[in-house]
Amino acid sequence: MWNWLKKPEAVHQLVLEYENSTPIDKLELASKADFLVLDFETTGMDAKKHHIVSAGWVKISKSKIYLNTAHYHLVKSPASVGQSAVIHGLHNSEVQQGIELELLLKQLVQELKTSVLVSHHSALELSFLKQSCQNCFGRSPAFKAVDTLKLELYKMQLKGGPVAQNSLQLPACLARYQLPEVTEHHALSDAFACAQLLLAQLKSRGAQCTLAELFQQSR
Amino acid sequence: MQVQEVVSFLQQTPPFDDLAAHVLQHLSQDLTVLYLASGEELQPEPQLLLVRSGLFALHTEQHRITHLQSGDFYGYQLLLTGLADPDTIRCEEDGLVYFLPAESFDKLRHQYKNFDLFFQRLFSRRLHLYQSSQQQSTSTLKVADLVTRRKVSIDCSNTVQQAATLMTEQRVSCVLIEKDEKLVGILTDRDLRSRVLAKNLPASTTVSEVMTKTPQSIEIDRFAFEAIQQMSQHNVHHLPVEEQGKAVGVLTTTDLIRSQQEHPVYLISHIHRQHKAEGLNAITPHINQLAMQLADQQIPSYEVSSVLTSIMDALAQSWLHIAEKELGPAPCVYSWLVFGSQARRDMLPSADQDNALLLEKEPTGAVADYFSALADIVCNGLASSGQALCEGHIMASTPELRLSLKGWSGRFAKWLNTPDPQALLNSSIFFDMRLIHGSKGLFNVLQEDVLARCKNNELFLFHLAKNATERQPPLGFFKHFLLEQDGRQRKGLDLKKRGISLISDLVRVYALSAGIHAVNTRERLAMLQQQGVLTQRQQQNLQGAFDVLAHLRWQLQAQDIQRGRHLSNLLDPAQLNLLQRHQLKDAFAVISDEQQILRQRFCREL
Repeated sequence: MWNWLKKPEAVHQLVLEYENSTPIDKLELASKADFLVLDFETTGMDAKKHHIVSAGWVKISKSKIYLNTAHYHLVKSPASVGQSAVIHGLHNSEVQQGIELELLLKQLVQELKTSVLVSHHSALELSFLKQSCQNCFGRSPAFKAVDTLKLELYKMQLKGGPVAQNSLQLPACLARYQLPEVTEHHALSDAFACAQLLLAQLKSRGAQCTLAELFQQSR
Repeated sequence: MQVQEVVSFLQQTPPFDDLAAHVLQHLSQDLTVLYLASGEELQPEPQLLLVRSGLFALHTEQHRITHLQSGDFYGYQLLLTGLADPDTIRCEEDGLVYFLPAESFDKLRHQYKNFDLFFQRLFSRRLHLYQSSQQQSTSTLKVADLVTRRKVSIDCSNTVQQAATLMTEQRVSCVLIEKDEKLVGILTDRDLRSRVLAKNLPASTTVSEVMTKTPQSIEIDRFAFEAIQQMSQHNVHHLPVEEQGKAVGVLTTTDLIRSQQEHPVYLISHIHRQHKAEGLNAITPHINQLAMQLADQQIPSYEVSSVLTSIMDALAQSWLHIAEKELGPAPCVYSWLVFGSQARRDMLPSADQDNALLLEKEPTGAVADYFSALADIVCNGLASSGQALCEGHIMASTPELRLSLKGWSGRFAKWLNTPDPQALLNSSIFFDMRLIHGSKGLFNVLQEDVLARCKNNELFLFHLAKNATERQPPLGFFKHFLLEQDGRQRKGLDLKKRGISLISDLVRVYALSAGIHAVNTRERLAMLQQQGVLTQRQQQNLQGAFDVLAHLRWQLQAQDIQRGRHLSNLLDPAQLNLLQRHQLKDAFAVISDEQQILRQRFCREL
């Protein structure tokens, strides 16, 4: 089935393994599932032009966040962090002490075989993840993500009425559930906050909510 | 990798706040985080639960015990004892909880003694121990700290020459005179000069002829400033010190000067030196200043109360002197009594007057007129010195509170035999009484009479116990809590009405039932434990709860003084730190438990 590929040998073994692994059962109850909540800090919004400077994640299993799964990495960037340093506070010298992008991706691809990817505004994480895999491994797996921002939007649209500007940003969402606020732009802090938001969102959807419904609402 | 937000939270939460940053960073990674929605119940697990946000309630089968909120723990009983908690936890407002696995909890307990102690105490509700250690202060010196335990005494049948020889040998300026090992008098250098030599009495004169009979004395466990108060009031320089009724030594003015006592002493002797109203009118700023100094010195609240009570006592004594000077000698023996917090010696600057007169004769005709005038001078005088008039008119200036022994005895008998609501309200005030000036004998007769009437009076104790448990501590106040107003637009939790008084009330029931003379709550508790009425654990718990509440109230009033505000008993819960909240909550739990025990003991069917 791979014969249409021009350079099959260029595709990394890890990607192939990912594609051959048993896919996550979409009918599994969300309250019982495993999630990996991810946040990237990047040099910009365009995955083709910009780079990942740091990544933080934490895992949820059966509706509990396990803090011993918390990870945080600075990522060596081929280019200057430039103006983005204003937001995430990371400077070139620090970023250059980080790990190789490939190493980061290997960890993530491995984890995502068994855990559902979650992000707030997941389009950004997905595009950087896919682009990076493409660059490093020759091809990216077809990652899917649950988007806490879209889950929130879905709920608000159900209720009707206009969706105020900024009301979907992470701090606003946290405040709505009276969750602890995030004070800094730090990939792990944001990922942890996002994980707490997901727990709250899962509760509000009831025990019968499946992964399929979450994916549906994340579109 | 640690999540900073979690570490920061632990850094603010006792007992984790005592642990080093790197320990917390490591520890935080052992935690799991759960989100609970309102109405959900948690099954007990062998893990320590720490509330991060939201509101949770502890329930037994019948009723809610307490609320848990940010910084509160649950599950430690199972972890400490292996016994399941007798209660369940239910979420009342959505929130996050952290779980610490049993292994991590045990490891911390082994490594950090304070961490272990915190949970042991939380478990045993031994509240007062986790207060930061109190500093020793000069104004809280006790007589015991100053007196040399060296008794120089001779029998009263000896001659003055023998006494003089002994004094010279022992190089002391006074000798105690005893009869059958009981202190009967004191003889000083000055007495030998003025009563023997100057009077040309022979060396063979017996000491009993020239000694000062039944001298002023002080118990060894009193404060040094009380000794000074007594010395300045009676103009003596030597004060025999007694321990359990036996003389153990003599305290001299030199001892006291050597101790370099600070403010309370000077203030009290200053008060005693005032012979004119003007001097006493200007005393309030001094009292407030002293209160501020005591607050700065981190003195335990019961000692602050004791200092303030002594000052108020001194004020009343001075006003009585002024009144007697103005009106002439009293037509009969009398006792000036105080009630309530002044009697219990747990006054704070906000306390108003509660006093009365006990008279040797029936208050009629000239006797009545004299004491009416005396009471007016003293009560108004005290008011001008800063001790507010009693709004309920429980003051000697009210004619109904100037009674003979027979009158008072009859009054108490009436309250005891027909315990209607007013009588019960009265009993909470009048049954705590103390003499501060005048005849001790007269007062003792009344006190014995009242105590004899109370003891074994089951009906009265039944009503008193019922009354004492009617008001309950605000167990569930922490989030949606009961705010009371003080008429000055301030809102808060009334520490006196909902805490301190409840303890005083229930301790009073026990004390009256056991015929205990002491009126101070701490002393009553100690006696009750000694007599086996209360267990040591009950005594410690009540004592601890009382100290926590009194300390919070004292801090509150010290703040009010500092800011020049009206003094209040109302606590704004937003100002509490987590440790104080733990303490306060435990204190309320102790009161609630003890009220139940009291009811079981006194309020069964008669």
